[in-house]
Amino acid sequence: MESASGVVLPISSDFSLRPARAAGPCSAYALAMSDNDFDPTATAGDGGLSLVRRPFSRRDLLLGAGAAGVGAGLTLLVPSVAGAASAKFPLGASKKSKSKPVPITMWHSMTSANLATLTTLTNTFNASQRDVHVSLVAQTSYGDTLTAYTTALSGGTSKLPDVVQWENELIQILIDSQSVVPAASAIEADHYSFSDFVPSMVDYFKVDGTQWAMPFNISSQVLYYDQNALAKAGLDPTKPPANFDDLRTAAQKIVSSGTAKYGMSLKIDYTNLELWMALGGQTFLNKNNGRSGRATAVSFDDALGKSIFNWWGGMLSSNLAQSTSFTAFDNLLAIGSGIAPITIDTSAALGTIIQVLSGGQYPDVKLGVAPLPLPTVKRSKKGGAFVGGAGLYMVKKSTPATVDASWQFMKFLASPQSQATWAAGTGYVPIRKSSLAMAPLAATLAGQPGFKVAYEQLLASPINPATAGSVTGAAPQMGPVAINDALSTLATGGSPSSALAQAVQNANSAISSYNERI
Amino acid sequence: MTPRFIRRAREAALGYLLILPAIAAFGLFIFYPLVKTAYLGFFLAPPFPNLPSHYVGFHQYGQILGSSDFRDSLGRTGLFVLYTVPIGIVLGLALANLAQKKLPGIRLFRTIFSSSVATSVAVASVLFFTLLNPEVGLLSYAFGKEGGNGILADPHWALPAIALVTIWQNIGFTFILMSAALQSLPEDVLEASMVDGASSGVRFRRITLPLLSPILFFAVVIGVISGFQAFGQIDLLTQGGPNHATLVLIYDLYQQAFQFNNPGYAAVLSVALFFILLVLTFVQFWFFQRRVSYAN
Repeated sequence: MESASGVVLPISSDFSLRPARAAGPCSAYALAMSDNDFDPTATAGDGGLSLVRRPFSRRDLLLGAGAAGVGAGLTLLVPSVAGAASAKFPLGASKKSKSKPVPITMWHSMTSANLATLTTLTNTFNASQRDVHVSLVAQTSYGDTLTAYTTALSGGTSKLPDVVQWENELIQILIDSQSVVPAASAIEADHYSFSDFVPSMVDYFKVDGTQWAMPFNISSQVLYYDQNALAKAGLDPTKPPANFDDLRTAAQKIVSSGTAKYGMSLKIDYTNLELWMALGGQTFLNKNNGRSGRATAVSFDDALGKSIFNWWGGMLSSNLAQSTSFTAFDNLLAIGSGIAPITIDTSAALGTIIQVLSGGQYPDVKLGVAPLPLPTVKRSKKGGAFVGGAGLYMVKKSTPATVDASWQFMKFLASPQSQATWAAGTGYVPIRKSSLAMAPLAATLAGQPGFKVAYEQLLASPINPATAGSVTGAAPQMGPVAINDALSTLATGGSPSSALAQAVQNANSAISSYNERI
Repeated sequence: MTPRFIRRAREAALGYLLILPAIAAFGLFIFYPLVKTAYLGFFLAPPFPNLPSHYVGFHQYGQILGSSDFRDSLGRTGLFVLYTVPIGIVLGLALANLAQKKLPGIRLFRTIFSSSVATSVAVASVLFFTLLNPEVGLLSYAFGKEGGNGILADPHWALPAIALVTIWQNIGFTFILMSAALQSLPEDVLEASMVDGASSGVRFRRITLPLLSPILFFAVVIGVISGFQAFGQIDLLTQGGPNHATLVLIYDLYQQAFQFNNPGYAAVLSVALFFILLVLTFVQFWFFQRRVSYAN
């Protein structure tokens, strides 16, 4: 799905990160904007669907309850598949299956261009061999996937999919559900090699030493800025701000030269706080970011965390930055409207931004994309960015043939050629190094080097607990509620120290409330 | 066993038989989930239903209902009802009164006043989301508030803004309700008061309002209940934020159940919500019964 300009149109679910909260308004917004847009179908699909929530249906429950008995019976019949990493993986079972092709379902949360690309890939896979047939089931958003998965689990395993695309930050919850087969068991049995993969993208899915998933759609946070505005303020647009000090200086020049009302927009987004901790080489949670044992408390209340809150608060209180809402893309709109020419957001938004700009609505804006600025002047050797997006998981429900079939499909989606098609069609970052030189991705990158920024940022990430990113089952409460609330305090005049204290206290209580339920 | 007793017993049996379908439906879809929900509140529920839950008795009820989080969200819910119900009813009544006047083109105004009844909560929310947006919103620019913290991101203004959307959306319904009531008022009483020389103000206060009391009562009860259940506009506009400023009871419940996967917590909240609404409805009936005139 390439547009005329050779650019792609990703409106990914990941674009509305944490979609359960975000999907409504931002897509609602997209709907409201679509008059001025180019391709209303791209946004309408997103908005129309996400405004309709899937209610928890009683029928599902009743059917599920009925199926529970049947499911329990089945589990007894096929006991060997289900085990942990140590259990033997039924490699090749789909090939040996008596009835072929083996049918499997995959739940995904992709919409518009992303969905079209996923469908193309799935059709290619189905046509390429006779052992496996994949059916895609749309769950609209990661939040809906979580809800639907929870509902399905209440009635045994028969209503679960075979493969599920699951948002990264929800990884611990899925592990805790005890309903997935770790990818590690298949990797071991298949002697599968990750040598061509970007290490940080694989490492994210490793918890307690076990590889749980195959990376699939990956993104990262990047700096977006208007080159024209920077030039007007007397800054070099080819040298975008690389750290907190640079950002402050740039913002001062932008404001004092009258180029814009604010130097930059700081979105109320806990992801930025977490990424800055990682870039500074510090963990976000204790127990090595929750990767060597269940995290029991946050660890961002150290010197680095304090300096991040201080910088954030200082930018806001001195009116060098404006605070913008978590659930909308006001920070990106502010670049267009000229209110604030710099901001930070997910790389998955880049395709849409380029598309908006090519619509000619903002002729004065010349987009620049740069790595996320560092929280320190000097780069920390341990520091690096972790990945956003989602991975693919095999569900522990199936017969040996379907588990093997799931693994075959996951391998296909992670192959260099699939990833080249996927990244070019969606704007996500390719997970394979060799995908970069392949068509159609090579042409996309040549036309829009901005797409390479997030890839290189993740490629540069060293492997350690800090850059792995945090995992906790409390993630849905900790980030979007506890920490964003504290950032909201910062945005409405609260002191950095009180905002930090609030973040720590609320995040810790979210973590302990989750841990005591598990 | 008098024949009379047998006849009465048969009648009663027939009566029970006739309401049996309703009882069955209510039992299955209302009472059973209600009991089950109350029961769920006794457990520290795991995030997924296939995992074991821990029985904690009334501990969870006590902990949640005694927490400041619960008190705060209850307070916000009460505030929201206070913002929306009286203003909504007064505005609806005022507009209905205006639209009673026999003027040329009055039908056009009636259509306009009642039009918001045809908008869904999603449409109303999207409209206001755009109007209030700090970067491109008309209202933001009109008040010189472009950029920076938008109204919906301001903890002091977020709840009133949600209330505004709700009032706007409900006004069509209230208008239609009040118009219908005004049109069914007995003409003779109003004419008699006119003959007696009562001013229009006196007539409204002494005659119209008392005659309208049943419908006002109805509007208050419905308004309070729907205020306690307001969800769509909050989900679409603020998601309970900023900083909990719009975290009303029902949204708290939703978050706990579907975002934090904490069904035990949500169960406690929904039982609390049930009893609060039950008590409120009883109080309203008790209060209004003595003031509402159903005489016609």
